[in-house]
Amino acid sequence: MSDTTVAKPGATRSLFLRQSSGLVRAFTWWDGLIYNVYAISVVAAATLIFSLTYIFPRANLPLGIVIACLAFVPGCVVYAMLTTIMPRAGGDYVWQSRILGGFWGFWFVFFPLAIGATIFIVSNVLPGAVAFISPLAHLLGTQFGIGALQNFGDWIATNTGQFWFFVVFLAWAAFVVGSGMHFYARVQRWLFLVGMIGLATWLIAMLVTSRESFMANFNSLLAGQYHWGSGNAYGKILADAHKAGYAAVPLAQTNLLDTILIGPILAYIFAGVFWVGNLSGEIGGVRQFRLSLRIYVGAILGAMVICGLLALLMIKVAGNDFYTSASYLWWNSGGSSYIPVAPWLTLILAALSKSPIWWIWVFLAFGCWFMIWPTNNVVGATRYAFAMAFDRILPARLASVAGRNSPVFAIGVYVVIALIMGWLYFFGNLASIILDQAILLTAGFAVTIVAGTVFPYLPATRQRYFDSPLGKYRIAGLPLITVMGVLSLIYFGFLLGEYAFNGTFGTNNPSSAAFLGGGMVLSAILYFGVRAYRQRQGVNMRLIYQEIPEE
Amino acid sequence: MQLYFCTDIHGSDKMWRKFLSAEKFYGVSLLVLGGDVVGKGLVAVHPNGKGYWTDFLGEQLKARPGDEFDELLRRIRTFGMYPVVADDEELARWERDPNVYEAAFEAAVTESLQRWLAELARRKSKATRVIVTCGNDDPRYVDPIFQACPDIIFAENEVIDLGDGFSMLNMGWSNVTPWKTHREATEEELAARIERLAQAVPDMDRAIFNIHVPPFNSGLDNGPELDHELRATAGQTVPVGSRAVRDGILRFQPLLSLHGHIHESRGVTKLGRTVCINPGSSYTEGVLQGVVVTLDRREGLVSYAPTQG
Repeated sequence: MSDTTVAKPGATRSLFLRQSSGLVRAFTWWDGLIYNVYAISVVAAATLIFSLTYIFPRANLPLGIVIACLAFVPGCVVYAMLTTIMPRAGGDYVWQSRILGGFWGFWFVFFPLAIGATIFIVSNVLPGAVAFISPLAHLLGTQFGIGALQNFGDWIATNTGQFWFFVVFLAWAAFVVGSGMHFYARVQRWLFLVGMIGLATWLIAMLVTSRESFMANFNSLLAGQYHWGSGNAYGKILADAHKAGYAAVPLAQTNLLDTILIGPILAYIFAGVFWVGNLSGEIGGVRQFRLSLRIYVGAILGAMVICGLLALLMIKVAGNDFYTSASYLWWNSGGSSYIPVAPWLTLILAALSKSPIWWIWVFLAFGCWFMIWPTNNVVGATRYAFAMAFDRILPARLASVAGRNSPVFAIGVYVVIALIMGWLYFFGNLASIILDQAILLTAGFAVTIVAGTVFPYLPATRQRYFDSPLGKYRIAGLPLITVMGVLSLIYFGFLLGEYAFNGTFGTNNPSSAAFLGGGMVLSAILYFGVRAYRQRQGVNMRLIYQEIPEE
Repeated sequence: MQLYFCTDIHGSDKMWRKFLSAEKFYGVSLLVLGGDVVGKGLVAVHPNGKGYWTDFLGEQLKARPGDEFDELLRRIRTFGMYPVVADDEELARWERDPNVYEAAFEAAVTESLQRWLAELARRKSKATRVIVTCGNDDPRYVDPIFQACPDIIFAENEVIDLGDGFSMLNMGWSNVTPWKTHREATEEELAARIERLAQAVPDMDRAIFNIHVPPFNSGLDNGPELDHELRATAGQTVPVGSRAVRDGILRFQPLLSLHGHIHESRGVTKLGRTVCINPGSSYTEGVLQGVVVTLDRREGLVSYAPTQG
């Protein structure tokens, strides 16, 4: 089923399909693009990640976004080609295992991407607690004079509050995903619609608001709602950061080196474009390369435009020095113990007006962007688990579905692991492992790019690549996928090099090495243990991945 | 005893050759092809004076006469399509008259199957048995072609003795689809067919069902949800298997039940005591998905290993 056909209107037809099962009309590239944007959920991610770029005070955030997104375009081409040639659920695992071999596919996907997703969700809920529920509850409590709601808003931003929000969010994600893809898609569609309306109103509001109005609104909001800043919160933030030694600069004084160096931070958002690979088998029409290409490249370019505009207008209205100073203080002065509400994108958006209705609208619309983001982690992880279970590496129950055709057991396992990771993050003094997931995700995706790069050259896969209609695309005589793969790997090499050797990113330390190394070693032990176990059952797992010769 | 099962190869030359290779590659003595053997359409290869061109999977491919032309035909056949050299006049006739197109399609299918069966005769070991059944997408005119072949056991709508006390119930019919294909029946009719075939099974504890359509709501039957114009809706799947097959499996509880039909819904599940497997199909990717099953006279189902050949 799900074979698709697209005939060129008015052109001489070549394809004459008979009436047979599965001839569904193509799911348009635009539908696929929207689906991909769901997964990246640029606004929610941007809120958190933009604030972390303060580490490089002289970075030009909007330009950095453009550079990071363009650097991912060659990778998008590789993913689009792999998706067209092998459109499967569990994409990265399937591609790596079929091209590089079963062990490599498992090794670079199980811990980095499947388990990585359980770590990912811990940090992904942070913006929900700090930039959605907390300010919304506080503002509603203030407006309606409900002290308990106000206190709840303040509590949810604390470490304990964030953990419990994480627990509740996990329950929400499990419920939505466990209710089946039909329900999940419907929830996503509605949240996306409201989120997009919110985004449009934010952009317009930022466009028409002056710096002076913003400063006045910001001071008023912080003083009136949070009794903070003595009527000059804007000036206090700049002064406190300066006093703490932070050298904030206006946008005009930024430089290219720092702008490039925020790439590893921004990759946390924009590498999300590759996350859709695990769902590629469920998007119709991707067997048409042009459509597949538009889905990936369209998504990264769309993310570039949305995030670039958000960043540019945010800096226009708030000032680069103010935004980086506020971010610096949030991350280095105790978070909510310094300033009662996270000075992230949402707070800046709220301070575009003095209207409580506008404030509530900002946080509600942001909530719509947020609620569809971490939920995708659950979906992706279960797709990997399903593909691995079908290959007999993980227990078959992970591939089983129940109720509304949902992998309930796999979801349950995901939730348990995520809860453990969450506890370690919030109470186990292991918050730094969150930073390590940047390495995990980047490495997992990079290996898929490697697989695509060598696809046309390995004896076992060469024929399959050149049999596909994409085999004809060449640049300077070299297969397109290889050229794009090499270009992409240059940037991935830069990212991984920075994570590994630049202490700024918080991953170049013994605990990260132990966590990452330990996880990879345990993955390898798991793989070979299962292989030995299956061997005793009479299942030769090496044969599972080996291509049958035609003769 | 070890058997290899795959399904839904849809006219792909490459999948057929891999199916034949599975005998030695997996060391099995029984090959089972579970239906939907026929491809989905013709690809017109247009002569343009100097050579040929075609528009295939959204890409324009060109070839000069000779090796390039042969290579073009091979690539099209790899994807399960039937290449036919046709000028504009011929194409106009296909467009005007569905019967002319159907005749061209039947001729292409017949030529392809005869080529396949000749290759089978050349490559198959004497000791290995090859069971072929049909699927809902296989036109009735393929039955006599398979029946006339001495190298295969054409088992459509039959119960076959596999030896060691094992038997295989085979049925390629499906429940009604939106595409009105060649072997469709109502759930009541399917139930009656299963009932009739089950009567011929000597021992359900040693029985394998080879039924093309998977059981309803089993996780092996999730197809894209379609709107009223048969357009896939975003990321949504719905169970499209047969209730009669599900009821039949739950009622008779065979040892193993093998299915296909829904390419993207590969998986393994259990209905009662019965292990149900749909290996799925990725024939357009050049990958033959299948499953190697190990049976033992005393232990029954010893193991199964889904494969990505």
